[in-house]
Amino acid sequence: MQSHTRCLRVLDDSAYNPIQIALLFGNADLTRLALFGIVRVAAEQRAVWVLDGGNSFDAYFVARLARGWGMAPEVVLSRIQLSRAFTCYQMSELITRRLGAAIHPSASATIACLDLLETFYDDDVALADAIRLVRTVAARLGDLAKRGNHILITAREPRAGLRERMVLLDLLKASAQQVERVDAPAPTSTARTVATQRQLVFARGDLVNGTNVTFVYASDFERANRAGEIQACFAARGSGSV
Amino acid sequence: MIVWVIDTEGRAHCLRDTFTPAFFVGGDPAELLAVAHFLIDQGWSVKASRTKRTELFSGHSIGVLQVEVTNLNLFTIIFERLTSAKPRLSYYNGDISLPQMYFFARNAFPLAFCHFVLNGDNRILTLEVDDSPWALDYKLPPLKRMVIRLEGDAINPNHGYRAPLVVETEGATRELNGDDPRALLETLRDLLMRHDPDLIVTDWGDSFILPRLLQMSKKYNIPLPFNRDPSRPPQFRPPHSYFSYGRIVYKTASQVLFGRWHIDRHNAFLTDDYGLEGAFEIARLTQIPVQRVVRTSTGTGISAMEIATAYRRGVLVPWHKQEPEAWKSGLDLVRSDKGGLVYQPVLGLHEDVAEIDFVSMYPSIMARLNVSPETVNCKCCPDNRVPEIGYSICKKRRGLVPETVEPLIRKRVEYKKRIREMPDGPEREVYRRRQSAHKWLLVTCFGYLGYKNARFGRIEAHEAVTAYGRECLLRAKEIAESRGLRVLHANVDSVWVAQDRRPLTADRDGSAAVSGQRSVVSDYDALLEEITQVTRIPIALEGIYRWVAFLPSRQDEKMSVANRYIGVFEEGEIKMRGIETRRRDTPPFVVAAQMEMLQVLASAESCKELKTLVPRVIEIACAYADALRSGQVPYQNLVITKRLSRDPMAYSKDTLLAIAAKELLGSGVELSPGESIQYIITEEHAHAKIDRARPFVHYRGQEPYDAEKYVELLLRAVETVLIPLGVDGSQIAEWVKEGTGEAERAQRDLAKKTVESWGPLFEFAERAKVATR
Repeated sequence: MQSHTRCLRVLDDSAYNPIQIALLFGNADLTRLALFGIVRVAAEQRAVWVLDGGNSFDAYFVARLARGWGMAPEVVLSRIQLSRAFTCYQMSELITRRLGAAIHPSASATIACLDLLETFYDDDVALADAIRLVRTVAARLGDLAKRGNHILITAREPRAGLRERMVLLDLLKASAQQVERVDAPAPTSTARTVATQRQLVFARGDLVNGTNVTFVYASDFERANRAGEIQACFAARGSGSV
Repeated sequence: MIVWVIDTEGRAHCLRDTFTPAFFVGGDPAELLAVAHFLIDQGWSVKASRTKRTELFSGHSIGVLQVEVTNLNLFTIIFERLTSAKPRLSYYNGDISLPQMYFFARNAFPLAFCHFVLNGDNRILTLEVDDSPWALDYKLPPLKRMVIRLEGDAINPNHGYRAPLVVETEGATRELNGDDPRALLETLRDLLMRHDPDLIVTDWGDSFILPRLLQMSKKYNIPLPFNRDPSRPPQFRPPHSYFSYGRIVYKTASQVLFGRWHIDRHNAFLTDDYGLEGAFEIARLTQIPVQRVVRTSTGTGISAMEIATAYRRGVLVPWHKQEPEAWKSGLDLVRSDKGGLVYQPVLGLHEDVAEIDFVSMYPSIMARLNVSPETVNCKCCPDNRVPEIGYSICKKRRGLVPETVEPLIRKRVEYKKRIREMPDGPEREVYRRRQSAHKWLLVTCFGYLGYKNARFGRIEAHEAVTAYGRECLLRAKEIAESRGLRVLHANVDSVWVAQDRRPLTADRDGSAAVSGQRSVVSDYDALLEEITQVTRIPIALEGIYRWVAFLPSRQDEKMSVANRYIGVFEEGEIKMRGIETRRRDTPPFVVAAQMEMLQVLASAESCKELKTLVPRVIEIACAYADALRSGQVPYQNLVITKRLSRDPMAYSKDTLLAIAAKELLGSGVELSPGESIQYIITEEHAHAKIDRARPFVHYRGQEPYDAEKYVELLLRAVETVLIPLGVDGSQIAEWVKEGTGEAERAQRDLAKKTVESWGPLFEFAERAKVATR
């Protein structure tokens, strides 16, 4: 369960960080997971470029998280630059043309592609076209990574009935240095309702050293936050690892 | 192009016209030259030439390659092959349907009155359109109709229902039995040839009747002339399910005819609301052929109208929407990514409430304030800002979307004016249906600004419209309050206001009340005028309610929810939202009961009188509960219709819907996600799951239904109606328990009880009143 923390480490803006592209996939709420990393980066006074393919960026969650860390939500939100894509052609345009033009060519940028494959799973788009576009997108992300940018990608698997589109996820996996699967744990009977409705929120536990990580759900998060557990978890955020 | 026309005598003619459609390719000159060489190398009969067209977002004229395809049958194939071979180029106008492109090129539309000059071959030499899609009054061609359906209840035959085939023509109904398939086919063939209908209307013709008949026709080698054009078979499209806005939608198969129309009443979009009159109106406005119009959403219609505007202007219609959202900060997203503004209603009963609505608010904003994908965030008009979110809107060039919707809004306003001024009758009904069709087109035109597959959508334009909408509603609220009115509720484009004085209460018949009414109406006129002047968006009086009840949430009775209310206008018309009667999964029996209760309550002139009607409502509830318990309710009225959200076998919990669906599966029926299932509750808590609910099609009417479960559903509907009067569910259950049973019912003095004798019954209503002061 510590794997995703290795992926989130891609967002560390340090010269010795060997990971340039990390991919998180699975059936967990990966956007929420990624938002922890994104907020941490923004809290360190660095800009983050978010490309959202699933219209899943939750600004209110970011604000709550920032507040929980003692940061002004407005400040954190203003450091996040975002663009949503609703078709795979828009996502492709965004990555291949707009992103490169937006980020500073000489400084390394932090980029998060949320639900990157969502628009490519659209069954109105021919599979051959989707494959071609994902290849182009993956190549472009590879170029950006070589220029020193750090890229976190999240992608869910295609739903039943679109299994032939698994090839798109395989293409992305091949382009990333760190690939990890994160699934929501089977809900316990008491947590079932919460799990199905709100899904996985984030990892807690020994986040600092990346061991013994367990999952909690939204309702637990609220409870834990009140109990001060969350503050304890994030007290060590200055250490550079989540 | 083959063009079918009906002359003024009602005779059908098959004409031919020479038409060369074209698509466009964008790229740098070297790439376009390579495309031209590629086309030549393929040996296709196309003509490629350099030309200039306008690019929507920049507004600039750009050089493109125009590819004209002389063989219509090859248009789609050539376009697909070229885009596969050269996928990186930009393509335009390539996937507009050929009939639409033909209409654009000839400036014509379906059902238009035209003059033709033909040669001896029935080839069109000239085509002159003597009609306008914007005409308010127009003549439709005389259409010969034939109805083909299965006898009996309108039950889905795909779920196993079987009955003789019924064919209705003018003045005659024939029942065709399937015992002798040859005789059935021969009779049907004769009927088709003798009556030669222009329009075949069916029930489940797309998914069942036509496919089965065509299958039989092939098996017994007896051709059925469904098409007037004998050279081709009906066009079949298989069913499919797809995801839209997080919901699974099932699209049934379709059978499209050539030379005449086929409309399946169970596969026709919204025709319950606007009927054929509305569908014809949409076909005329959108330039989409009638058979396609009835099978697609009004969103496709508005998109077609935008494409037509682009075609007229020489603007390129992109094959794929590529323009992504401009970068914005997380903070900007919080500011801009909002919907309409809602002020939660003040719970409970209110008298003399006016509802004022902005007229087609979002389309009016687009039209009047020039909101369109290409006008948002222009560089040239930084001073023209959208309130709250700060986007600029171009003042220098007219937007494509505003240009499309403006005449539609105008036409709807004209029809609404006529409807108001006319007495009830068939002509008024025609206008009502046409304006209803307009309403649906206008409703979807806003959604299409943000829809992923819309050609001319852009999320920033969508956000600009909602931001203007919030501003308008806020202004309207402020103006109403500045005039001493109480705002009880506001919801996106509607505001409910109440006068502090109450001229329309006790003696409505007196002259003082009449003059009071006039004064109220003129007060509202002034209010509407001021709001329209300030917001630049017209607002109208929807009506004045004698009383309106804003209902609480089902989860928390102290919490109000938007769009859940019951009200009665001055003229006695009932308006309700969010209650059982409006839900598609409510059994017809419960709908009938709730409507009857509402009609009783609608007779009340005031809240005081309303309270005296509670016993009559209870009486109705008792009568319906009695009918349920004594097994007198026709089982057709107990049917519950729900949509499958997934494959039936994927349901982990055995809900009643899943049980009914699995039984259908077991009987060999194929079901797809998104499909509607009808069932009857037989014994909700039966030990054996299969006994809990039965598919409607398997229910014979002899086995018992779960009367107590249906009584529970009935009581829930009664509670909805009575809760604003302070009556809660447990009290209703007790009264209905007391009131049911033949002997007791006869002697029951429920109706004689006075309001006071109900004790704390109206505490809720009184509380609500206090809270509104």
